[in-house]
Amino acid sequence: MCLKIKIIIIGLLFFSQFGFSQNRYFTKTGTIYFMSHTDAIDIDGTNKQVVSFLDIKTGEMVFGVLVKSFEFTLATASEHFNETYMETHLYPKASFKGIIKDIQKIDFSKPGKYDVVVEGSLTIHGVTKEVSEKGTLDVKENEIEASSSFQVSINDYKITVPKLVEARVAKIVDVKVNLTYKPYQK
Amino acid sequence: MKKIYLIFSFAIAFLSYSLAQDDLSSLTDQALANTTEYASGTFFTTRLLTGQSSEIMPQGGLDFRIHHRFDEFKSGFGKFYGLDGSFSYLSLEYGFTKFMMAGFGRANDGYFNFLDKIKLLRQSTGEKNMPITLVYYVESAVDGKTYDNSAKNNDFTGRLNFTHQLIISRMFNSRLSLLLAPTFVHRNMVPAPGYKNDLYALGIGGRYKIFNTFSINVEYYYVQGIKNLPGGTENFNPVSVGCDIQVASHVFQIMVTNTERMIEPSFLGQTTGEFSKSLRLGFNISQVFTLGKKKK
Repeated sequence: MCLKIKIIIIGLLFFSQFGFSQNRYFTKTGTIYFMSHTDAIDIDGTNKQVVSFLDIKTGEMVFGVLVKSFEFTLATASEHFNETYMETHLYPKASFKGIIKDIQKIDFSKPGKYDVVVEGSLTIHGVTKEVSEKGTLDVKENEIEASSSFQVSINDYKITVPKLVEARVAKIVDVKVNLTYKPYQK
Repeated sequence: MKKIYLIFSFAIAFLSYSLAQDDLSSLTDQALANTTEYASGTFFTTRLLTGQSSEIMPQGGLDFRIHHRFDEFKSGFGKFYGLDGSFSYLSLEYGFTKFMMAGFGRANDGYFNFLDKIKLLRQSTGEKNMPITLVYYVESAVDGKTYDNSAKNNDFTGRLNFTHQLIISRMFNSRLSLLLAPTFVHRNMVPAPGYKNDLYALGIGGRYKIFNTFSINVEYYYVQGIKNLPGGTENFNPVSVGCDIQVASHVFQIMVTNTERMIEPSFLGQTTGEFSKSLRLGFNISQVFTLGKKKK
């Protein structure tokens, strides 16, 4: 009898790790879209290889993206973006690490839309800044859709624009993030 | 025995705890390492200097090119060291898909050319690893000149020239890119008997970027079968040394070269000046327009 209980306890402990990992959601096909709007020209780029993890228990949220995989509508934008502005050979990654506030208030077993506030540190072009942005979590069966739109000031991240093309690059860039998280399995 | 169970269960509990505690940041980094990163901006534009580079127009990009070569420096003050003379090439080239561009142009040595460039392999690291970029370039050039021998004017087939080229390039780091370009040119009609209809050539070149918008370029083509031509003449291997300057959607290429010709059958087969003796100044201008803009 005693042995059986022990086996059950061990078994429970062993399986508890699967229980743990169910808190985690993951995507590697998230999208980030940005638009630099000026009177002279609109420049927009999309990255469809955004990696992100979300822990629905702790609210922890992490993003990572290879800056080089942005694709542009404008034919010549990619080279300027990578070489002059983002200097991807020096800073290949952009990342975000933060926390969804009051995640406990969200019932993830019930589908529905929830407005959230995300706080954390955003690293672009090698510069890290504390940010706080609004977003939406759309809880569905077996997946969570997250979206947010916010603005980034390029001066905050020490992105410099050559004088000659100053009128063609916006000081404040609009950013939209869209992700569909699936449960994370190791 | 009890102790062993105890230790064992603690071990498992600890194991599951530590597994669950995997840092999300490092998991993200791992996932990023498994995505594929493609090399971009191996060269500033679709030409290295005189010949092709491994770049193609991005999808929806329309490239309007003006190439210009002056006369030889040695033509002296009377012709302002060559600046009075001019040879030009105009072309329009469009990126139809992410991997294919096509265009047409006119060189003032009499040729209309139709070109097509297809990207077969992309240099990449990460999930997919590919050390080189491989591009296939194919061109047909029609000689539009009026010949002295009027019987030849109606021979359309004789006016055709074909170029096939493989461009193998590698971007070693953000500054240094090199290319190799094995080339085959077939000319249906040659200037005189004794000239070869088939030319085999190997292009070698590269660029070294000094600033984000400025690079030094060197290009050399070794051409087989252009020596010992009838009449005791010979042609020379084209060499170009120059730089790229990028400003917004323009690329300027300024160079010193021994050839006034600007399309493959003519610069590979009809370069009459030796590099050490007959240098000239030249430039290319590329202006890219974006067409076929997708609406978001």
